[in-house]
Amino acid sequence: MDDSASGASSPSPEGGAEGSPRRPSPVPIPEAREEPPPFGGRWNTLYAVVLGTLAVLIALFYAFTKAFE
Amino acid sequence: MSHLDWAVLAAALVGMVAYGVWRGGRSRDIRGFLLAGNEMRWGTVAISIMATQASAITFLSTPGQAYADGMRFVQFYLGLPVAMVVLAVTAVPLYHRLKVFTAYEFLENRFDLKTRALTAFLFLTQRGLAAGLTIFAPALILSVILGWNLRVTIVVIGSLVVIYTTSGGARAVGRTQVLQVGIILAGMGAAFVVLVASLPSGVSLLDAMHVAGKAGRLNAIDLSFDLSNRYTLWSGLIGGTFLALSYFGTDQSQVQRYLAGRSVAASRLGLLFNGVAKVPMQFGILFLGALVFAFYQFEAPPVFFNPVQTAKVRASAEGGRFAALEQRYHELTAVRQQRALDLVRVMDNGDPQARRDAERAFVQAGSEADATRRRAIALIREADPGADPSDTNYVFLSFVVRYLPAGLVGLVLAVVFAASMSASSAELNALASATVVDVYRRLLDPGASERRYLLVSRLATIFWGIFAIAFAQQASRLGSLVEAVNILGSLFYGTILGIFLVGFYLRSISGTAVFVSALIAEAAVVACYLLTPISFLWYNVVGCAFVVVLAATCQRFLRPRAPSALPAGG
Repeated sequence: MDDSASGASSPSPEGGAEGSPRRPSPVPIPEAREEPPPFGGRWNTLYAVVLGTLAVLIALFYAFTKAFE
Repeated sequence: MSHLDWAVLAAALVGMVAYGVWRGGRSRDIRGFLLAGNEMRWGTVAISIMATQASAITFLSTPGQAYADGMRFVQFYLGLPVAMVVLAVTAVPLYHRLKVFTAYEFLENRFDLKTRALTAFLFLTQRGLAAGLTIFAPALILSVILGWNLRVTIVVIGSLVVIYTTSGGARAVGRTQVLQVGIILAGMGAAFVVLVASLPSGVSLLDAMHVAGKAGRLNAIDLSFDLSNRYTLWSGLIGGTFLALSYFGTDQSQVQRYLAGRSVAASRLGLLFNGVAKVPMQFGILFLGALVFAFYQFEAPPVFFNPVQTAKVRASAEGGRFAALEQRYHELTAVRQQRALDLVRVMDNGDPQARRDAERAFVQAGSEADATRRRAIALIREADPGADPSDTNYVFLSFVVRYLPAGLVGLVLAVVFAASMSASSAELNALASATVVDVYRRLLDPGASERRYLLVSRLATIFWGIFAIAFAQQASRLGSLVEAVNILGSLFYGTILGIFLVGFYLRSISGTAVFVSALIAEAAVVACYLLTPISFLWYNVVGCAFVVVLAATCQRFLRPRAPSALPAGG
């Protein structure tokens, strides 16, 4: 990996943003290839699983609280 | 501790350090040292993320938190899964695309150098102090339980971490965390089994849960909306989401873990796994604490769980009064034990009125015992005004040492060490990254060789190890450690998150506007902490909202700025 491509050592005009013309990014930014997840088919499916699990956990915790209070 | 315990603990410590040095290998450049050469599989990333967040404080203080205050602390984590999804969608692909070492590099690309420097400074301050607490927790426990000198213990623990983190960098951190998580799961699982087996005959796990529930210790969800109430569903879902977004999205100790992933998919899956597993894991640890509470309803607990403080007051002029209070406490807990057994008995016979009466009698006996305990704690403070009135951190380990069989005590102590070392090694690695990449390489010596940067990375790791050890020496009076760490984080995270959110989504706002707004926001958060009763989780919302709103307002008074060339997150 080329460290100079990280942009960390690339000089950037300090505070030079105001009113400056459209400032090009200091490094070329390649578009990342959207990899599919190794399981689950689509990323949106995995996101839904995570949020669905949270909803189920909250419901279970609430039932747990009520059952033993 | 028996010889077997010592052998188990020593084997675990030597094994962890040796394994870290061996698997860390020899990095030839700073990408290898700081990002493990971007070669981590998603499973390793996932374990590394979880192990970095779960320090020894998690396993010592959290059960004590449930013992003293119930399980409502679990709500603190409810925003985490939401944050994991948001970061998987936005930050992960962006950071990978930019091929950054640290999250703060993004800010210079998006804004300017001063914004990057300010944010890196906030991170270094907050995380440097937190690393001290991470080392302090197990040292404190060891010193109290084994009578070791606290200062020496801190130095020993800190040094063990520094050895393999300096040697192998991020690769050593990630690989060792897998071993450490194995030790943690084994130790906590064994403690749970022994705890359940130690309940009195005739008292089942379900009975113990009923007893804990009647005493208000199984209060996992609180639906009330009260800004001064520390843990509610709403503070967890809203404040907790902001805190988790900031911690996982902008804190280098976490960003570095998923940047070490071999692809966007590996990093995303690591975060999403954490989103699914973290809340049940915390629930399990709190449940363990609630069961320790239930266990002590059938056994005589000490009036105060810190044996050092108890010994001090016994030796003071207040020793006689304290002994009388201890005696009274033991009488009252004996009554409470009987009431608890009565409660268990009537729960099985199905008479509702008898059950209500037994519940009332049990709660009343508990209140009387608690009142005596509070008087004993007040006396401890009277005898030693500098004494910490909280014994939350000692509850779980006190149980372990007293009731676990030989060998398992050593295993649980190894859990404490493993958790502390996994979290603090990641912190030192991240602090070294920000120091080298955001300060040394960017500001002090931009054209140096890879070899020099690698050397400075190792020196920075040692420096932050020494800094953490030095702060740990001063950390003995912070009350519940798990809360101290989270309050400290919340003082900074909202502001940092606000800066990143503006960077990601408000592309017309300039560096100067966000820089000024961040300074004002940080002052506002500190004012909230010092001057208002607002609970700390809301600081994350306050800091973030101040930065976003003020930056948008400031920008209206500055000359308009063309949108950044950087792509938005996602």
